[in-house]
Amino acid sequence: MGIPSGYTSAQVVQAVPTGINSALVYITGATFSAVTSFSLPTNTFTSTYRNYKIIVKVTDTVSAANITMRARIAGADRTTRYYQMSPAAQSNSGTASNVGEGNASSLQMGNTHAATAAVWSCELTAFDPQVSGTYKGFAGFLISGDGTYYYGRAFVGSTDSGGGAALQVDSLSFISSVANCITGYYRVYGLVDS
Amino acid sequence: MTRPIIYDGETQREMTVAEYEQWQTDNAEAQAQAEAAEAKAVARQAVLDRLGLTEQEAQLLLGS
Repeated sequence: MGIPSGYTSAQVVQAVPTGINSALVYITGATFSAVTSFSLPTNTFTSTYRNYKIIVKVTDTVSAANITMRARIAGADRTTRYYQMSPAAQSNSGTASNVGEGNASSLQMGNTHAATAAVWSCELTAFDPQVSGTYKGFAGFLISGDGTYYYGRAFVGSTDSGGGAALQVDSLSFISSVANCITGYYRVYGLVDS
Repeated sequence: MTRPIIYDGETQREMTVAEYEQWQTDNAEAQAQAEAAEAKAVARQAVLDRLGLTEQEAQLLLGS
């Protein structure tokens, strides 16, 4: 193929050999404004990829909001008490918050701070959401701050079917305790196996 | 009454009645948990005050 007029050879995309595929494939993303919760689209997680990376950033435009996360199946949040969380969090003032959860109805994902325009950012991995199994694991980290106060949290969370039955999750929801206060975006990527 | 707005993965819309009831239940539960945690912290501090211990000294003794 010839080089198009106005371009150098370095600017032309080259054919990629087999086995050197991109490790992250963009699946979906969205922006939202002044909402109480946001969800990934139904069937974001499919059998196409085994594991998924999710990046979220929101700004709290009203006041301190507690953020929780739920697994979602066929367009509905999973609200049963089969969530567990093991966090390790610390603020810039040295206050630690490492209280775990068991038999909860959602995963606690920290809060935005009291000041207007507090930012809450999170990156997490969803392990095997569509591979049939009892437990679905999530692990990641988040940071929240408002310019003077910050805290960071690393977390490992899971949800399970309860009773050992198989469970498949196709989406996630993030829910604020304060109405219509969060504005932001999410991006979802599939992790290629090879 | 206008219910809170959500983004459901496709569009921004008002919560359904069921979603709104669940959200209210979640918030009531979180409030109860926060109040219980606060009461526990106050009780702990009262005990420390009676013993004349600082929080750091208590952590050294109890490992928590």
